[in-house]
Amino acid sequence: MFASVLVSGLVLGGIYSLVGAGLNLIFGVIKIINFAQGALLMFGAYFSYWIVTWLGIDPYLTLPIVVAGMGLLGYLIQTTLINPVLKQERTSQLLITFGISLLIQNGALALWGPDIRFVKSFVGYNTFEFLGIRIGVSAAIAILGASIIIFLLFVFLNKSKMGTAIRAVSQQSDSALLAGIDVKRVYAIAFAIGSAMVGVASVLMIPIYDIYPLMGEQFGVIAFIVVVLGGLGNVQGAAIAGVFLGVTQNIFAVYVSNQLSVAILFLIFLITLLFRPQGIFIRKMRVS
Amino acid sequence: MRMRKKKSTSEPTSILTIPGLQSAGWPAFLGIAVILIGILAFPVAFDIRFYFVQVGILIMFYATLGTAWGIVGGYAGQHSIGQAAFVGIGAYTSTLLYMKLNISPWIGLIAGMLLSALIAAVIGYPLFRYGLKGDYFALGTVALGLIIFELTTSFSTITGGSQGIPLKYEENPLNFQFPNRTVYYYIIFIMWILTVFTSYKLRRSRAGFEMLAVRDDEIAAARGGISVLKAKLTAFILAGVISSAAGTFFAQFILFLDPGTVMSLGISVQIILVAVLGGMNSYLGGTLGAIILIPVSQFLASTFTERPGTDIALYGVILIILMLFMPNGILGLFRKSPKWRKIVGW
Amino acid sequence: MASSILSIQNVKKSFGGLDVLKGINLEIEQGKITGIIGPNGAGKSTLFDIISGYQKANEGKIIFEGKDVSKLMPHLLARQGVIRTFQLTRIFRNLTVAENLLVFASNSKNKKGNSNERAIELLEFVHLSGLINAEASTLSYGQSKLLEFAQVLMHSPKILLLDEPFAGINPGLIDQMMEHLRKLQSEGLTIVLIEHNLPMVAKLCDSIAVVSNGVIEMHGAPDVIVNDSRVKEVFLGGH
Repeated sequence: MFASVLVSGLVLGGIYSLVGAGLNLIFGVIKIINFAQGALLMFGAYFSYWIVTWLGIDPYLTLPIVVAGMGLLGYLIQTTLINPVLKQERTSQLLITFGISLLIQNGALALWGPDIRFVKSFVGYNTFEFLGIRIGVSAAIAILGASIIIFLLFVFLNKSKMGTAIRAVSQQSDSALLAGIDVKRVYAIAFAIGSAMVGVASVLMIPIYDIYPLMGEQFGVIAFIVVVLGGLGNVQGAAIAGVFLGVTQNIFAVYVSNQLSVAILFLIFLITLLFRPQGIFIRKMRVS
Repeated sequence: MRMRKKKSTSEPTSILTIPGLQSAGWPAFLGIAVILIGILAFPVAFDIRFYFVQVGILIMFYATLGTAWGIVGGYAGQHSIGQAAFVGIGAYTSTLLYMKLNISPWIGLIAGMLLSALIAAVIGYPLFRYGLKGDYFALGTVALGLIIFELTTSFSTITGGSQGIPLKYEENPLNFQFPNRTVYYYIIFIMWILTVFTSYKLRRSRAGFEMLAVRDDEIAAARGGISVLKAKLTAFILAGVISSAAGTFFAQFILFLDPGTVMSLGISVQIILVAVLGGMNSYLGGTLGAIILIPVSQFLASTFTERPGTDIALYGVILIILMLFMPNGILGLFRKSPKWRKIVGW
Repeated sequence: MASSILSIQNVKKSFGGLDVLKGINLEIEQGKITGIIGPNGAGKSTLFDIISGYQKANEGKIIFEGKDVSKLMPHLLARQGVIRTFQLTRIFRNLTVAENLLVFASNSKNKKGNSNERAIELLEFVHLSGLINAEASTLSYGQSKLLEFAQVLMHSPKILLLDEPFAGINPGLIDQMMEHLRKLQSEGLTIVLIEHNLPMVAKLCDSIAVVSNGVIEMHGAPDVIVNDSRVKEVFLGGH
């Protein structure tokens, strides 16, 4: 019994890691809080849902379309809405992503109604046994998928040319500018990647979770917790933090209280913000 | 430290005064007086349907909240996204004290304000102490708002959970309830005036100056001897206390309380929008924003009843457009003019 | 016997793996103008940060007027009279020029005279009187540097740490500023100055300290320092 709680905690954690890593990337590179991250997750879920409904294909097969679409959307959002306000005071950037999240979330509510939808994949509710534990196939796909993507992100950031550019910009955008890097383009790509990761997360999760307009809210906020816990710009940290939070939440939900399971995460969040804001994994920085 | 105020003459020393209404001269004072009398007379003047009085109450309610937000978000530059938490704290504190312990909501009002001050101090101190980027503060307030919301919903035996609490109706002014509903109009009027006045005075005071400096450049402010922590914390606590009082008022007015009504993200959004639309750096910003936005929101809410969420989606669009083209709000449009700044207090 | 108003004792600072300051020992004499020179990246601004409280040293102490101020927050140091400027000028962009000065009107324990008058006087001195109501964001680079200069003087500081105060200012005004600094010095102000222009530093300062490789390589009278072969080598004869 505990094992299955652990497994579903890992699934949740995988989703959190993906969404959180994407958010972390955006936060680390562009230095803005993307309030719309959760809304984007919901958007990806609906995107996939509509493709499944219209084309009749399996949800997992929508992955390339959703990823490409979300990446494009992210690129567009950054270039049309965020790059213009980068020179302004920070309020504008904060509130614009907040406005985007309101628009996407409530737009979905207005357009598609509050009804819960769901999709079924070819794996259905099949399970298999692994080391004596019964695991759902879709759960296994989710966990595996999340791990692969995080790994790929890590490789990309550290080994590829664009990845290095991204890291350069996130550390010192002025010097990067001087080195000839098109900073605004890097921003757009970072946002695109952040959105694409959310797209992957949404495809992985819809065979398991319900789809409804406000689904992103919880994930969006928890993504912040992942970022804060894992440490700014720290991809591995975000991954570990995401898994930790997912497992913790699930354990708490099953063994203590379902209602309070999210509250406990917020509490962890607040405590981290208050006492160790640089995250668990970054060495304590001297602050001025 | 007192600043010497001088009348507007052509002497150089007179220029070093802080923006104030005096420079607008007596026509402005006359205008203000007329407007205020108009507002006061409004409910009783033309046999108006109470619906309009109610809209007036809502406008002043949000004007109060928006002005309070302007203190922490505009003056001090700390963007509190979850400000509705304090509205909720005020509302629930006074209501619970009233329903469970029979304590008059007038006292509950004070209790709520004290509690809000405490929570703001407790949350604000670590967030501000380490000089973190202001973004962490915004996140912190989001977390605060959500936690308070969740806690209120979860401890339903005490708080009535998501079902809410209907308030005992006792028609007793001592219990902050009035048979003549118009009285509420005048109460919120007083709250609104007091809030605007506080914001105005703050802007002209040393404390206000320090907040502005901190907003513009914390590091420069610190080397000037300003305690960044104190400036931010003062703003945050003040905004929280005002919001709390408004929350208590609201609970007493609608006589029903549930988390969605007083502390939802939607409320926070409206507060921010009101403040930003009007111009968050001006003590008049919240008021202007409320005058424009609240009737619009009433219209939206009644028009799109079959499609819930449309109104907030539109708020999102408005927010985006504002940030792209008018980030300083309406009052900020003329901020380059020194005379305008003096009156509006940019 | 000259008294030391500021004593920097074995200050070390590293970032990540990089050791920027490897043990700075420096005594700043009260009432004198001390220049600090050194190659770029030698850690001069970091040293200022540590003295003024913006960063904490990994090791070592800062003693000001006999008190250990190593752990104080920047605003408390400012109130004690330790005032600094920044390499990249910092002013309050959304406030007017007048307000920029008034913000600093009275937080020091050392207040002399009336703030309004003082502000006007200073504004005249830096030729910004005409822009008294202009928003600070509209000022040119040179003008904002001058505004910052006026700001720090509002405070009646006891010690002034100036980080490249003359960069970008026209020479005529530089002379006036230097004269004003000397006047303040004669009234008891201690000044520490980071500059790259060697002849200028030699003209103005009573002593010069050379920061290189994370330590004070030399500290002495200007003519000694300026003529030292190693210094000449490092600076290629100054600018």
